Amino acid sequence: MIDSPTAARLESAVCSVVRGQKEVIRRVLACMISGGHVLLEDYPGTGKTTLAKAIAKAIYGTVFKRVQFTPDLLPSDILGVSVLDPRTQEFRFHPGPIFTDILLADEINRASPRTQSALLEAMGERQATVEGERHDLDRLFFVIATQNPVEFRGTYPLPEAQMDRFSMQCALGYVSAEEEVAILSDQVETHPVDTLEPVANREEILNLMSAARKIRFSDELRHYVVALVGATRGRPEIQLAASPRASLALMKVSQALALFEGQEFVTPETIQAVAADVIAHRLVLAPEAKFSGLTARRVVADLIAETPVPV
Amino acid sequence: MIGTSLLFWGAVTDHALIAVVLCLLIEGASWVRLRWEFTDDAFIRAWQISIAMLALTVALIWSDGHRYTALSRLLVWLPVVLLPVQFVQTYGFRNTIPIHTFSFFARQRRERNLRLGLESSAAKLNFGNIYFITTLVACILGTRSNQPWFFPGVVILTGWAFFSRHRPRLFPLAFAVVLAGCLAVGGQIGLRHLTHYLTGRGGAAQGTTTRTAIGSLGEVKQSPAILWRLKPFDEKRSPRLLRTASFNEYRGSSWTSRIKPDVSNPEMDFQDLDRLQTYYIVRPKPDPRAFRPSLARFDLRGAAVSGSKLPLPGNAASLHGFGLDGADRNSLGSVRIFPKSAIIHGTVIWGDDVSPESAPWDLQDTRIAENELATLQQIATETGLATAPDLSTKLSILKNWMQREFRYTRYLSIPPPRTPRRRNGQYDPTPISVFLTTNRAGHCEYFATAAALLLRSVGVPTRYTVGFAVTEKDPKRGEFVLRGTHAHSWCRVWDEKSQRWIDFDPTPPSWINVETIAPTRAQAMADAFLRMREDFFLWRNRPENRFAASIVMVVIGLIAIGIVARRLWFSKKIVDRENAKIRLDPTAVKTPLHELEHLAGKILGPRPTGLPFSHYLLQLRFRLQNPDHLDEAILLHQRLRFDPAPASLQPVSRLEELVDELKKNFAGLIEKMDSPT
Repeated sequence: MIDSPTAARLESAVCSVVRGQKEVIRRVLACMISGGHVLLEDYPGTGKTTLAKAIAKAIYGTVFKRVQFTPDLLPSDILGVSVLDPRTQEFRFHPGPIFTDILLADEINRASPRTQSALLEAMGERQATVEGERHDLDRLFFVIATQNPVEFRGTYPLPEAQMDRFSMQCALGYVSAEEEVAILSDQVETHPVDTLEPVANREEILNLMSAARKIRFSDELRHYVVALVGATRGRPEIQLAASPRASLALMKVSQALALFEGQEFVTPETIQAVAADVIAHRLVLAPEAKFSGLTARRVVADLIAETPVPV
Repeated sequence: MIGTSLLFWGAVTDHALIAVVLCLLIEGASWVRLRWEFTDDAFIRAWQISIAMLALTVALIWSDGHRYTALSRLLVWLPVVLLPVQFVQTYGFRNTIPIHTFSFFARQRRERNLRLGLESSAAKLNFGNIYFITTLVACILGTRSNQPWFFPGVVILTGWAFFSRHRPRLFPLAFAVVLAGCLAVGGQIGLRHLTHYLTGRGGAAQGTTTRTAIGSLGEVKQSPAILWRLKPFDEKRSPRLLRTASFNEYRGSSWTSRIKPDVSNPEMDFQDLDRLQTYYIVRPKPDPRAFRPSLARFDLRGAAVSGSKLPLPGNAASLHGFGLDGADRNSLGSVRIFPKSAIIHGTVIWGDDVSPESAPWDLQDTRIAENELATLQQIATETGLATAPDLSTKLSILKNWMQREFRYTRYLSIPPPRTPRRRNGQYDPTPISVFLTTNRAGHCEYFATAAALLLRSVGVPTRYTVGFAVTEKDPKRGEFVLRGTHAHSWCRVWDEKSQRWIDFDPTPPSWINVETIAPTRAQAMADAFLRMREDFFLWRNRPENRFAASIVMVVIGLIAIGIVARRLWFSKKIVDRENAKIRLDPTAVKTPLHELEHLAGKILGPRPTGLPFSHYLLQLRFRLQNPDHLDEAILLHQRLRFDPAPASLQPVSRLEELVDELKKNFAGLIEKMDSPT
């Protein structure tokens, strides 16, 4: 179904490593191709790190770095530091792990807010400013952050501003019993991620990114996107609604997803498929709504059901 | 269909106006766009309202005092009682009700499961089916269900229900007809039997026959419940025996009343008592002397239904203040009343020197069956009854003899009579001859019957009488209570000298001690409760109270309806039919696939606002012959519709082809589809 061979190869390579998560993988890849960043929130052991590693390994020539976020992690541990070179008597910049193609920010909500916000600029602007000096990041810069559900001990919930920088938040969830058996059989001798061969190079990925931007998006659907995001505003159960950045992300991610689905244009179905992932994590629910058991994803599902969809 | 069944219900139960209102409410949903977003909670609340209405209906039926028909009356009102639940389903957005709505415990279990995070899928049912069946059952119990058009009506409705649910086949239709027939006929017969069983005393209620326990085995059991209360004006002048009915012909083991042949309809031998001011005269001829002040009086109160017989002294003169629609008396002196309400209360004036029965006629009151005769004559000779000079001597001989030689017992040991057969010139012994000669133990019916026959054998006209013995006094209130255990039988004897009938009770007076039960605490409570109930009825039946009570009921009902209506009004939603078709861009391209939305709507219902067209149509995918064509059509549709790059005309023609084929496919589905109830 996928027209683009690069996209198809990429998807099947990642799927061969991470079993039973085809839908999520496609959305995560779409997010990467759209130039966004993704936040995976799930219980430990559901394959978040494996997914990030598999994506990195499937692309030839990419640098993959991983930062394990801990409460004592400092911003300089991410961005890098300038150290005095005793020979030249000059400060030399030692780039931190952020200067990479794919960054896995593991357990991001265990670091202090100060460190978390160090990622902000990098994610938003694709640049890092260290000691007043601007350093551009790679064009392919893609952050996969993982976090444990916020109710867990020793976590700092991500600030809303930071949440807004993530294009999408997905959950992997537990796989079916058969898939879990397949995971066991895959890993009898080696981990499949170790034997994964790269299936695409950087150039191909960059081409894919520009192809995604060319996926056609009708005016009518732009209105639909704005209507969906706008519907979050002025509702009593939502304290903080979604920003125009959400509309933008929704458009870009649906374009990329349409690419993966082999369409040359976006349909309302595609928009609805990613709407919950793109919008829900940006919302802050009113306390009373939260206590009555409402979740942000549930609210978005209601919005989708209520907003008239073009037919 | 529900609407039709409701109209039918209205026709059968005579509640046509209510039926039309209900029908409009239920079926009106098809014409108005008013809807509510009812949740599970709303279903539960509706069910609770129904329960409350059920309780109210039970209370109303109870307060009308129709104890024996209460269940059928309740069932008749079920369509009204269950309306809130049906309303919530009809005007909600869902057409099923989770089954746990109806059980408190199921709800608790479900809530616990949800709390523990267990999966519990709620079973759902379409309440319309239940409502329909309930309405049919209510129809069967309706007052007009014996009309000739009732049976075809039920058959048509049931047949319709089956027809719309399944493909028309002969078997289900035949089954429906048989089922409906069985339900209708069986229900009616069952109901009649149930009423008969509950009201008991079947023949006696008609006033022509009474079955005695003569010749049955076992023990006579009687209810200790209080049936009547009697309060004499003057404590010294209280009646001893209250007669409910008299009989003049003994055959087999039952007494029958045989009416003079000149009365045209023997069953209707009761003659209207002339109404003089507010008095009902019990005398054979109306006469103001029937309520002269010198006569004794007592107040009588108790439960009565239409046609039940009033216990009165043998020489009752008139009735006053009972609140009757009418009363009549037969030539044997039984008085039948038609009360206005379930509990009656009034004054009986008695002590007259005239007895209300007609004089003996044509030897009817001295007739004895042939197979009894030999024993009776033998006894009459032995006791000297045959040679006694006058009536009072005869009575005292008989009374003394019975008191001396006989024993009162409620344990019945005399076997039933067989068909009279003559063997060697002798008859088989009858129960009465066994009682008189060998057994000499029995209860009042034996004594009364034996005495009546013995007196007849010596030429004294005698009748058999049933009623109550006035024995138990409630000293606190100064009134007597008549319980089921005080039921008694005795004789009415014709006194030639004074030309009237007098009471003669041959049963040894010790019977009272045998019958008197030790008052239990439960019985005392039951008595007190019964009294409260009677007090309440009497209070309610006073015209001024009746008006106030109905005003209060109406006001409470209106307030309740008002609250519900107000809450409904403020939470209403108008479903706009056009809503589903709103397009963000009115100039948007229309493709041939859009024509399918109308057809699909007939199968799936209207498309929810937020559901993309393709997802909507794909719900039908597995029912299509060529699912791939639908996929292809959707792809083409999307290309035409959402691709801003200009599309060639070629896909349009292909899409038209596909849509034509799909249209036929859908039409086939609609034909096959089960029509919604």
